[in-house]
Amino acid sequence: MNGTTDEPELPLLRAQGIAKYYGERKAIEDASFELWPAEVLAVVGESGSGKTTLLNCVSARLKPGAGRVEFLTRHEGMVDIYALSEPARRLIARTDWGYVHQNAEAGLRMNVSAGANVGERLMALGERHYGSLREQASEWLGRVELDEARIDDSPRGYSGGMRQRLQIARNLVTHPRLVFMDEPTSGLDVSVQAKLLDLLRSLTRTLRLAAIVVTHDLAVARLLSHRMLVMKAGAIVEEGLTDQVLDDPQHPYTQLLVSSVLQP
Amino acid sequence: MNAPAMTPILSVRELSKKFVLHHQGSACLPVLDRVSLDVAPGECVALHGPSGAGKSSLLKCIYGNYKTSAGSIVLRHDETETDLANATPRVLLRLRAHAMGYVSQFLRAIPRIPTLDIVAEPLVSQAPGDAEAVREARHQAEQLLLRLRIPMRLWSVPPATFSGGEQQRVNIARGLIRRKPLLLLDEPTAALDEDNRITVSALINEARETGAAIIGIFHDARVRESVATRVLEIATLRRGRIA
Repeated sequence: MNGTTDEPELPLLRAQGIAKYYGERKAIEDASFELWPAEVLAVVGESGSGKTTLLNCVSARLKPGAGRVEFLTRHEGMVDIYALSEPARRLIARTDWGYVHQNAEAGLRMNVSAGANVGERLMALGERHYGSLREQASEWLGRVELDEARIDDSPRGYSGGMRQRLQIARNLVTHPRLVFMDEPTSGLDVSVQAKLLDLLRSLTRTLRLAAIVVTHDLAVARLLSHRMLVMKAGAIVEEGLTDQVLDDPQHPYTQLLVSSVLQP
Repeated sequence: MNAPAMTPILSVRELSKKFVLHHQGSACLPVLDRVSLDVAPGECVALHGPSGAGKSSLLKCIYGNYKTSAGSIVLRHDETETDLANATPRVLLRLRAHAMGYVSQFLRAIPRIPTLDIVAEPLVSQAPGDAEAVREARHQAEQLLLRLRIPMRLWSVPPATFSGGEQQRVNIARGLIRRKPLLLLDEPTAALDEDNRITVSALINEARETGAAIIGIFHDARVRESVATRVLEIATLRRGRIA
């Protein structure tokens, strides 16, 4: 969104008619949306509304029962990610995508050092030169405001906020174009949360990263996202510019959500 | 004063806005009723009327912050006409970045970000990663902050703890640093002292003289007199008359 005049015609990600049932229980029904390069999209709604299921379906972590998810690859245009071979899909997930879990431990390897956590995705891409791996890991620790002197420490010795920063560095080291985030700040103390939000905001802006951020916190959506989807009972009930949805909500459920919180 | 005989940059036609409150028995609050107006480059239109008359709502409908209930809002930019009332979020975001700016009464501060960076951001975001452009943007931000009498010792501090007037001046600097053809000003001078009011009036006049079209709400009569080329009573803006 930041001022390129020749914007591509194609979205970075397109989800069409996504549905997911667990037996009889509907988790998502007919969800469709597009995500544009460098755009941050927030998915909001209460627990159980299907936000995380939708995130997992579009990030190739959970095959939907119906629908298509297409991604704009660097060289082959739009591809249907569930029509790809498993290795091809995994390559995209490891290079062009990142996934930030709510609990950092789920996205980190707790038995190896901070530096090795950051270097791992590079090694998976064939980078073998120790000096270069260490240099890039150290640079990324700095960019997420972690002490580079602690590169050899285990993440077990890190606080929750530091682990979350490490998880972000681990994801961004391969220069992905799209990052999926599931409640990236909600497990943290408020003061730590604010710092992490600033970091995410500045990283998405300066790296022109596209992101889909699942959050139940409307203030997080306001600060981070350009656009917003509101989910209720597995369906997208409202979407629009983030400030428009928050300042002039149209759907009864969104009005309830916005009026239930203190000034997002 | 009559509108100049230039193609308007903005044409609002039969714009209506009502709020439907689903949790208050679906109460319907009409705030704008078939408003029409044209604004040309080089004009500064002051909206006037009692509070609650819909002045801010009109600005917010134009900026896309409020959804329009009926009518059209045509913006002409880069030889393209866009109906803002029906534009996609993506088109609105692009037009906000290049064609229209909005200065609200309050600064929505981003925690932890220093004042100078907040002011420079609209320029910096145009050229991410270009060190020369960033330097130039910061230089311009410094010039604006100096003119608006924000003490230099505050430039590296986030504005969260500033006084209301200081925050408002930071907000104005951020809103005016990037030249945009359409400016929407929602009481930009409410909390300012005399000297700063004069400075802000001068900045608004400079933007207008270099071709910007401006729609603003100025409660202060002296500001209004010094910047407006036209004053529109919001109560008369309805039912088919094009102002």
